[in-house]
Amino acid sequence: MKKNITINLFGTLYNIDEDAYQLLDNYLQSMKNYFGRQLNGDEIADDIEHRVAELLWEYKEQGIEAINIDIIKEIIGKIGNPSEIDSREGSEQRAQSDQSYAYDEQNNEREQAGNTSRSAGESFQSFANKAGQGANKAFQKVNNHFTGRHLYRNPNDKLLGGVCSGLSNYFGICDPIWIRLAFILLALFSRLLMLPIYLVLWIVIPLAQTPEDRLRMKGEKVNPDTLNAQVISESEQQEKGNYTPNTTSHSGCLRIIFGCILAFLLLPLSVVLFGFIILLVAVIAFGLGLIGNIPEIFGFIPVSDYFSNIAGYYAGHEWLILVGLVFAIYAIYVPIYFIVRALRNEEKPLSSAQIVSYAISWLLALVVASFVCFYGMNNHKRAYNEDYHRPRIELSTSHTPNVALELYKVAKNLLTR
Amino acid sequence: MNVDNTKSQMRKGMLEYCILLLLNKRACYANDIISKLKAAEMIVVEGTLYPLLTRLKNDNLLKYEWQESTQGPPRKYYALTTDGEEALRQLDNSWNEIANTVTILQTKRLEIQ
Repeated sequence: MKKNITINLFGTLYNIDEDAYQLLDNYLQSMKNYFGRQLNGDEIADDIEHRVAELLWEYKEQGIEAINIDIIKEIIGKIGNPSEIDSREGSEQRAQSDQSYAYDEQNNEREQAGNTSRSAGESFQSFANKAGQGANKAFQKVNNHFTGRHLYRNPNDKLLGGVCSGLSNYFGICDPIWIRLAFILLALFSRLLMLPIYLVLWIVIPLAQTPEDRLRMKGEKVNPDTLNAQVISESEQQEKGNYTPNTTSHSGCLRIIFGCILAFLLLPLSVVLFGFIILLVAVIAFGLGLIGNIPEIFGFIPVSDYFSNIAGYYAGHEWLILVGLVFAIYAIYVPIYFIVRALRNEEKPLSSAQIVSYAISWLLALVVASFVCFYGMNNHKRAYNEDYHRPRIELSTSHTPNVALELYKVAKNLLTR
Repeated sequence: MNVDNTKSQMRKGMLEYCILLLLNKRACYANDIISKLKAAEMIVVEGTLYPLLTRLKNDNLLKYEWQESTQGPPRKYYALTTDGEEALRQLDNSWNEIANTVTILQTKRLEIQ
């Protein structure tokens, strides 16, 4: 059973299945997008819409009550997809794909020939052949990967402009999170130099507007079959509600304003990163303290005296170290979890109860971890009778293991730049 | 040389001339042109025609008028303009020249054989 809608095409009503309507609408829309760039392109799209209406009329005359998706597929096959229709570009593209197909075939034949001609006497020859073939194959693999693949911004999975998602599609990385992470890290450590680069990419790389663009973005062949499959899968996704086509294209100016806001947002982010590093240092310190405290088990791990001393600050309350460690790890885990979720573009939103419980537990963990920290530092202060306002690590540079020192340097650099 | 590609290029080159020929002295609507060109295997997909008609109209070789139809949506009837008739005459001449040359070459090949 399918839901049926009534459409009005040039004054005549047609009953059409919902999925068929979705396909037809996408088809006509892609016509408009494609020809809209040409002189009088609207007229061409309009002519095609008239033709569709005419064909639908013929079906109606034949006594077909409801138009289903097969009829629409037939009509699309009859009229053709934009790139097939366009007399100037279409021919070149088809010739190109024909050529690449012929090349594939040739290579397959050569491969088969190489496999069958493996006689014992020509072992070296065949080895050299195989090596050459291997290199050839690798090259061809890379070549195949990029032929027919175009760089687009991906409107279906985007955080800002879809640049990272488009790049990951272009290079065949399945999850855009890696490119996004790389961008953010580069932005932080390149003194935000990455931001203008992102903006330029945003402006320069075109958005994958039509289903054809989106096929080429994924490096799939554009023919009526794949196009129909793409359009159908997109309309299915649209029903599920996790498909967000970008119909409002940002103007370049708007993008720049967006970028400036982003820059201001990223500045405090480096402060947050600094907080993270402090937490990380705390975790390492607690962990090493714990290890230093139980030489029976962790004796094989060389720990500097400095960290072994940590246990001394909690004399009688050594369990506090373990508590501090667990809570500090949790305090680091929660924000990382949220960042990863955001970068993944997770569709399922957390319930407000979940968010509140995460926030409260995170604050609690932060408070407990800080309390344990300060408790130890206080005892440390008392023990050495020194001013604890100076950072603890700086006090004992000579005893500090290199890891902590390096982390501290990085943090200091970040803060003072 | 890719034979299929050359064949489709030949057909593509002839398409505009064929449209002008079909519209000579009488107005047609797109469907008439499509069915005739399809019968002659000049086009594969119907849509190819629409950008061509629009281009010819932009070049002022064709004009059209809307006519209501009892069978379906209103139709565009295309006809040649005076410029179009002139263009058709020129294309007639150049086609005759090409056909002539090709015929001469073909007969020469027959003689050699």
